[in-house]
Amino acid sequence: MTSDEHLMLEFQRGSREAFTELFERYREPLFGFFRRRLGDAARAEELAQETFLAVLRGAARYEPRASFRTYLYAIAFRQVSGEWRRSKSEGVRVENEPTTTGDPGEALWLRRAVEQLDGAQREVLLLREYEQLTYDEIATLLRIPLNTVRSRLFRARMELKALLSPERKEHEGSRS
Amino acid sequence: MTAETHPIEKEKVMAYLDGELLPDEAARVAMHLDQCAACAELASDLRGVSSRLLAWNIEAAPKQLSDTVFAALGKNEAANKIGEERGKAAPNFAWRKLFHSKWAWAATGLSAVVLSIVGFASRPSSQKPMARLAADEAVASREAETLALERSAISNNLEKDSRNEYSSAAPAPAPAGPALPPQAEAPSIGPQIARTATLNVTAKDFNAARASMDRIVRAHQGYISSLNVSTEQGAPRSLDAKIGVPAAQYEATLADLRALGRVGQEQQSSEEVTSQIVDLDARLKNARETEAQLTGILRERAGKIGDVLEVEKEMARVRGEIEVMEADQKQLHDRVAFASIELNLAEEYEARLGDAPMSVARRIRNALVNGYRTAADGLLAVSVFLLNIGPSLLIWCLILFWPARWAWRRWRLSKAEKLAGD
Repeated sequence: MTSDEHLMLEFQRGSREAFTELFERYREPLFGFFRRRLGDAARAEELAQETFLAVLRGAARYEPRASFRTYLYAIAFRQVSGEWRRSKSEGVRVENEPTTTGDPGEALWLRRAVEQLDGAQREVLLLREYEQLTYDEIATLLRIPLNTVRSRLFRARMELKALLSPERKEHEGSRS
Repeated sequence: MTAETHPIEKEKVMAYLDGELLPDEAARVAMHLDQCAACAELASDLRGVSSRLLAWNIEAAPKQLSDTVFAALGKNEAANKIGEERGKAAPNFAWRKLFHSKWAWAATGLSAVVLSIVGFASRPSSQKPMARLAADEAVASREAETLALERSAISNNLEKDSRNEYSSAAPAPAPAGPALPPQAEAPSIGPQIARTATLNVTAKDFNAARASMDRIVRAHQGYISSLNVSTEQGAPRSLDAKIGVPAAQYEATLADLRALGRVGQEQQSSEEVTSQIVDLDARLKNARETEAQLTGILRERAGKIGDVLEVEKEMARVRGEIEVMEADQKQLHDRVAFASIELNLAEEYEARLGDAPMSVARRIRNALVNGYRTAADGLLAVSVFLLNIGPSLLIWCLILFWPARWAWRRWRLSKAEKLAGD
């Protein structure tokens, strides 16, 4: 399989097919990236579009210094950070539950548990578990040391384990 | 299981499961997991968390996402195609790459530093010995002249090229009729250079130096266009002179003026004015021809009064232009024919013990005169002030007198009543 970086360089030279291939590879993961971080599905779609458009516009300046995945998610991360800042300052919060292919109750339970994590830990966990980034890529994207990535990820997983324990679920269920 | 007692850290177990360890280390952790129940349990917990997270699936990306992105891609391709057709896309991209390259920036910065150092090192220093200074400046002068000649040659070539290019690219037919004169051909003249110099000289004997300056100017058929002499008491005497000398005598005059004393600063510059002269000559020739044609029209053709007035108006305008251009031409030729030297001649100042201090009687007299003047000035100032605001002050006093008097009386009355009550 041709690497992402090679495809991006091909696209720089004018290959439409290369971009189509990249888009097909990252359409779902990128939409998922925004959907898991934002309550509003329409906004997630818009931001995914804007990220691809930013790739299109910046293709001439692209240099394969880091992996394409890091480059793409760095753009996406900037978009989502801007969105968080905006919604915080405007105080607007749109929520519509993501539709899931599996058990909706389990998905909601998971989402709430993840939301309870510390913000920095949550971001590392999401990037690792869903975007499948390596520790190195996460460190580059978040501009933090590699050891910090490792320790945050470990703490996030341990905390999540505790939050997802059956006892906790029963306790939460009885409260609600 | 602590880091002190356990050979494998917990985070390393996690890194192993995530495939983040090097093969050797991964093999070591795998072996350890077979032997250590606590680490095996941790690994199982971590796997459990990851597998449970997989349950959070989300809906598929909407179709509109693809539509919008590919529509933008189409526009992008169209724009690129236009760019390629114009032959701009590739160089633009290359320049952009260069602009974003830190090496390009580093090379630019390094070149700037090297050029600054070289420029600074080659600049003549004012602290150098006089002989060296004079030699340096002679070289600088020659270089400036050579540069001016080169510039002249280049500008002549460019002019020639542009004329050729114009004639080959657009062979426009000459318009018929007398209204438009033919394009004036530029006469081939040599390089025309206007030279100027600034010289600061400090002389021990100011009077002798000044006399020498006059002699030098006369000897080189020059003239002094302005002279300003300062002879303040307690300060060194100095003069600022603007000297004009024939261009041929420029170097010799400068050399003689340097010999007047110690040269503190010398600056020379040459301005190549060939293209200005050629341009002005051509414009002047055209304007004169236009004037001649207008005179011919006025003389030969009879027409309406309005037309005659129009031609006369045009002639007056052309004549005005010709006069301005002639003045400019004369000034330019003067600048070339006569080099300009600005000389600042200062005396090497020595405080003199022989200067007698002012006597006590003179000082007292001066103080009295000054005191009288200050008092008279003060009195005059007060008088002027009163005369300025006096009338309006008087009016206000008259207006306010009666109300003030009434208020004063009321106040005294109330005070008396109060005292009587007590």
